[in-house]
Amino acid sequence: MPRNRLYTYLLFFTLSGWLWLGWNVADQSVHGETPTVCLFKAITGLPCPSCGATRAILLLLHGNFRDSMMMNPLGIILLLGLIILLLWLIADMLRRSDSFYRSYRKTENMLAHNYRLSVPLVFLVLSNWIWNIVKGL
Amino acid sequence: MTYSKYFEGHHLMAIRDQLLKLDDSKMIQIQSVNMKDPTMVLIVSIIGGHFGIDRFIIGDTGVGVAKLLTCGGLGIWTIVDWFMIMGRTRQVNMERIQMYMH
Repeated sequence: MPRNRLYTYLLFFTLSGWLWLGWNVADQSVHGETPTVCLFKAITGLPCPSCGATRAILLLLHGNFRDSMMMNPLGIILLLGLIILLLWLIADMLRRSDSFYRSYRKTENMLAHNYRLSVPLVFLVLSNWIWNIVKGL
Repeated sequence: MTYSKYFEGHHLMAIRDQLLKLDDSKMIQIQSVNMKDPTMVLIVSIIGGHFGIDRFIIGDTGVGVAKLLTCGGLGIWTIVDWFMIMGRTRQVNMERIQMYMH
C-alpha cells in the first residue's frame, strides 16, 4: 500500500478509535455499559476476537488491570497501539519522513514470510476468540 | 485481453505496450504470476472482511491484522472495504505483474 494512502487510512481510523473511546468514557458515567458496533456479533450473536476490547480499556483506565486482562487481553495492546500510532503518524507527517512506513513494510514482510512468527500469532488470536466465546462477552 | 478483469482500464494499454516489447522467455514467468480475481476478493470481503481476511488474501497483511484486532475497524472499515477492495486488488495485480516486466 502506498505511503500516503496508508497514512490517511491509519490516521482516520486511529482518530475514530480515540473518538469512540472518548465517547465511551463520557457515556459510561451515565449508562455503565458500552454499546456494540460489532457486525459479527450483531449478526451471529457470538463475540468476535476483539469483542470486549473497549470494556477492557475502560477497566484499565479505572486502574483495574486484572479485570481488564480477564475481559480481553487485546485491550491493553490496542490502547498502546492507539497511542503509538497517533504519535508516530503525526511525527512522521510533520517531519515529512517515512520511518513508520519502512517499519510497517518490514513487519508486513516478516509476518508474511516467517511462519514461525505468524502461526503462533494466529493461534493466539484463535485461542483468544475461543476464550471470548466461552466467556460469552 | 483475457486478463482484462484483473486490471484497471487505464492500466491495460500500458501493459499491452510493455508485453509487446517483452522478450518471449519472460512470457512463461508472467503467465505464472499469482493474480487475484477482484470479484472473488469482493465475495471474501463481504463474508470475512470483518476479520481482515480480504486484506490478507491480497497481501496487505499489516492492514489485515489491524482490521482483525479492531472488530473490523469498529465495523466502519469492513464496510468501506466492500467498496475499496476491488480497486485495491487490481492495483496489487498491477504491482505484481510489474515486478516481472523489467
